[in-house]
Amino acid sequence: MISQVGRGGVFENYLQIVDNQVLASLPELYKVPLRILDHRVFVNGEIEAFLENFEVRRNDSEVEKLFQVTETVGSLRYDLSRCSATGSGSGSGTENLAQLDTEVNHLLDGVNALLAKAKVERTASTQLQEARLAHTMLKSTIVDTRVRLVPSKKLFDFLDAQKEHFQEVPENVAKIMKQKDHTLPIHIKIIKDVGLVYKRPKIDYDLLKKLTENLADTTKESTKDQPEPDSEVKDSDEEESPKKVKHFLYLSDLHWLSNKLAELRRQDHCQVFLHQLIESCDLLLPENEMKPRNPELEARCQRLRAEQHNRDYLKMTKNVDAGLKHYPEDTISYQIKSLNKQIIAVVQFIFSVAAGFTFGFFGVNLMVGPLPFGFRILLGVIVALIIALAEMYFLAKKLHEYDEVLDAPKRKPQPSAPAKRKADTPPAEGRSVQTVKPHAD
Amino acid sequence: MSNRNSEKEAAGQLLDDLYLDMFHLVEEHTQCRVNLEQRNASGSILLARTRFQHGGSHCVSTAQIPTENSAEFNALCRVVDSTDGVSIERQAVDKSKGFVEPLHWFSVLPPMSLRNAVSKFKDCVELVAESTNLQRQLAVALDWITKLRRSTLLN
Repeated sequence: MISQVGRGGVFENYLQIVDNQVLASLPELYKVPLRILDHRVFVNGEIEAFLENFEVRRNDSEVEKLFQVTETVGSLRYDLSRCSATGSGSGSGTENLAQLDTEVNHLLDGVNALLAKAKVERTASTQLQEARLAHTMLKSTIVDTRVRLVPSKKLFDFLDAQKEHFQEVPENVAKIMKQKDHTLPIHIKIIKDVGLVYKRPKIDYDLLKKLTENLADTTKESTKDQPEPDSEVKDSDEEESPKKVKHFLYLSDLHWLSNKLAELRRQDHCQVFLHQLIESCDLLLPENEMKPRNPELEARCQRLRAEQHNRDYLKMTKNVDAGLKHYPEDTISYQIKSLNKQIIAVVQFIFSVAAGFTFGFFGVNLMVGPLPFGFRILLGVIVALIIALAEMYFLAKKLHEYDEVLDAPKRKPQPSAPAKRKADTPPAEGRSVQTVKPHAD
Repeated sequence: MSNRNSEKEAAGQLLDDLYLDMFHLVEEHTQCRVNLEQRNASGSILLARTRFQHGGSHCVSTAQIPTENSAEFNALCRVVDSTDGVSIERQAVDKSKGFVEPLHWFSVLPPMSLRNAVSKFKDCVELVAESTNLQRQLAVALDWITKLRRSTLLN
């Protein structure tokens, strides 16, 4: 009996201790279901661990193993050299040993080279680099859609040689000439090509066909002049050097040049065509500018995304976690808030209907003159009804929205939400998220 | 000899014109693409705005788009590829003939922002057609240029 009581006492003591421990760790315990269920945190942790294992440890272990190999080979070599030193007296054995020694030396060199190679940081592939760049940089819209042409030396020389024959020169061309220290004669007028719009040239396709008809047989005869179809349209590979050039020829300048050349040809000053001049020029096609992403925006986006995910997650696990089960609905503030909103909506409705009735009852009477009482009531009711109908639609919409808003996240998860969310977004700060206010219109 | 000279002159002039035409086409094509980008972006923003203002889940969502099991309907907009290029053919909404208004899938009284977004996206389709045409013309011009450059008249 005594022993039983004693046992019972021990058991009670034990229970008390456990209770104390449980009470002490209650806040921690409370988080247990959350932690167990929060698969995102779990998955993120797993990914991190995996990446760490994969990238860091594997690399480390490889290098470590290589070092081990180096050590072994080094010690082997040392032993060998000692062996060969001691056994130098006895004839044929030393030759073998010497051979072995050189081979081991070779091996050591090879291992060292491998080690050096392994230590060198490997650069990311171009694809990866581009992807990273796209992550941090943003392609912006093309601002200047104009085609630009970097004038070549040949073009400058031509312009310089023919400048006496020009009566007028576009502003842009004049600027370029000045920059290259080609002075223009004074009598030349500078046209400001602001309002000038050049149309697309009309192309005589019949003539074109006629001219290219005999092409088929001429090409066979003259194989010596190999066509270079790409020579005129320079790709953007050579962008770097012309980028420093400040002045370009634009389309309007080319139009001017083309007209001027036609004129010069007519006057027999020269026999130069535009295509001969621009052959040596670099063509700059309009390009997107790369802009760095605003870091503030990026941080904000990440925060919002994390919030959104948390909200979704909490909604998903709401009926599993006992602590959150009745969370927003059971608080007094939540109920009062929703009550307030609905009361305000209803009061607005009643007020506008009453105002409509008043207008029909008194307002029309005041405007038109004395009306019979029954007719006034009819008018009031009609106006009130019209307003009530209109209001009803909005009321229904609004009340429906409240239902939706208060127990569900406001926005749906975006299907196109990029999955690039970093693994280190702060884990669920659950409580504060649910209290985010729903948007009122 | 003079005949040959005049032909050479004509060919040179033609090549110049072709080059200028090519530059024009490049510019127009770029402009068209830029417009397309802008329309598309503003349409997307308007759509997002609609979802934001009207509570995403019950205003515009993919669940409201008809599935395979829904009633059949005709397309309002067709792409016609003819000799003059690609063009867009639109049909008026006519329920009896099966041309339904797609906006009514989402709500009977669509919000203003959604209507605007629709018009922007409609513009986008037109711009795509225009861009295709320009691109074809550009390809033709480039083709002619290579052909003409090969001819011995210019050398």
